[in-house]
Amino acid sequence: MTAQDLAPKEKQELKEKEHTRPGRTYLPDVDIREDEHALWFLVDMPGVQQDQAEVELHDGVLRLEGRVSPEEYQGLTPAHTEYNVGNYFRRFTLNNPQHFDREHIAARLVNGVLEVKLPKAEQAKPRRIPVTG
Amino acid sequence: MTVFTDPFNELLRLQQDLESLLDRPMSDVSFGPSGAGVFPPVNIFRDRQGDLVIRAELPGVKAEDIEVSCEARRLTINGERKAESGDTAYHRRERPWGRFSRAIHLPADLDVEHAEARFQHGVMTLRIPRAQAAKPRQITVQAA
Repeated sequence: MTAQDLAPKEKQELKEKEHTRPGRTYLPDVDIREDEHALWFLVDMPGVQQDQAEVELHDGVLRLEGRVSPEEYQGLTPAHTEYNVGNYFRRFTLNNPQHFDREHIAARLVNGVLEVKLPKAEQAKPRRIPVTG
Repeated sequence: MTVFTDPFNELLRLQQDLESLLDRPMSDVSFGPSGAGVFPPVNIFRDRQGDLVIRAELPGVKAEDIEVSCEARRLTINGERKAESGDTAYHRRERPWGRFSRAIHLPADLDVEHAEARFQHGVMTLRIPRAQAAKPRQITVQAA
């Protein structure tokens, strides 16, 4: 992999729905990749602690949520600001939810990145078909 | 008397404070030619003691890949967010990666020698204490 300069981008606010809790919600950046065993979601949620993240698969919709701790900002007066702070929310509809083993979904937070593993169900794993002569 | 503070209201208040400042030019901190469009964006605060607190969101960056240095009043944050290696197929790729470098011109009233950096949950917090000389002193008035 060659080196490149990181291109900055602004946080996008989620505006489509009303929340019962006050506070802004932002759309986190997400990478989705697939290997033969699972579908992986990597979600940028800086400031979110392990117990403040939620992952839910319901009706074929994967919901990813993270809440930041306002306690970190107590007693601080802003002097200059370039980015906003808020909670994170993102939702993805799976094309084939039956292809995943929902009992074994695993999630963890590492350095502000939520990693979600959606293991493939046995019938969805690639099979090598021998060609016989 | 119990003082009840709602943490979510606290968050909303913070966002309003941040927003009210987003359009306003800063007071005693400057960023060289361009403040916007560089990575990482920073938020700068003062705490109750007058210490400067600089915060930057660096999700997915390892603490050992961040370098913070200070020369006179010029603070630099350098680092790299590494791309995932391996040849898996991507369905979506939004998270930026690459090297970054950022310089901040600090106010004069700080004790840079005692600056501390902490990296937690993908957020870096730099705390630079206010210099002793800059702190207000109480002067006792003695009766003649």
